[in-house]
Amino acid sequence: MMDISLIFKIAGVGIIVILINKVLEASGKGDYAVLTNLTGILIVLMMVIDLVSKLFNAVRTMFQL
Amino acid sequence: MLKILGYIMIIFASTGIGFTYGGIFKKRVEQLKEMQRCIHQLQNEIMYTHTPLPDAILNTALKSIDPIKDVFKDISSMLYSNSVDNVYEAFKCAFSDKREILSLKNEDISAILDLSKTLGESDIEGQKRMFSLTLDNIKNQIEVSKIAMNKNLKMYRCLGFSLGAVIVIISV
Repeated sequence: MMDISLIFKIAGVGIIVILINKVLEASGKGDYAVLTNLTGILIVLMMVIDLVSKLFNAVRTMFQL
Repeated sequence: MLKILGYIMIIFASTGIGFTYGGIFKKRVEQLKEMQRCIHQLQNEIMYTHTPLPDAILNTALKSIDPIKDVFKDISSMLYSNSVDNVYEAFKCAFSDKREILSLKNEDISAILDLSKTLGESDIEGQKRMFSLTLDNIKNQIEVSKIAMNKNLKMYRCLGFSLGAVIVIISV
């Protein structure tokens, strides 16, 4: 069973990234807003990359590859 | 329990950093306003009471608030002790000494340094013109810094808290 807290973590990061994005865009720093979005995506990716690799391993073992 | 305390500390610290960083913009506006008031007063000292420059600057310093007070006091003491060649040099030394405690930007300081180039080196009319030019410049700087403050103050406060929250969420 997957750990449910990871979903909440990702949701939290998402909310905060949206907040930072809005604030940065409101003060006319659009390029930093894009950078923040990318950082947010990267952070979330780092969180799930372990699970993704586990999934691939599971698929591989399932089909005996 | 200890972990939660750590998280709370991280959030408070990052919010504090955000507030302090945003405060620089607020301080700049305050210091520019104080500087404008000081230059008005210096103008009065020179135009109406014809006070000698070191006395006029000292009088201005006594009626102003920190950190502008320290700058004017330094300038006046330099002029009293004759340790500098001209007024411009005294202003330049004082401003470069107090650079760390002032939140003023280079363009604000250069507007005031322009004034110091003519202080005590021309007649009353010439100085009057230079004072009005400097006051105009400072007024413009105040407007610019106010716009920057409105833009950045909220942003840095929000960013401080948000980054703290991100750190806490990631490390939970």
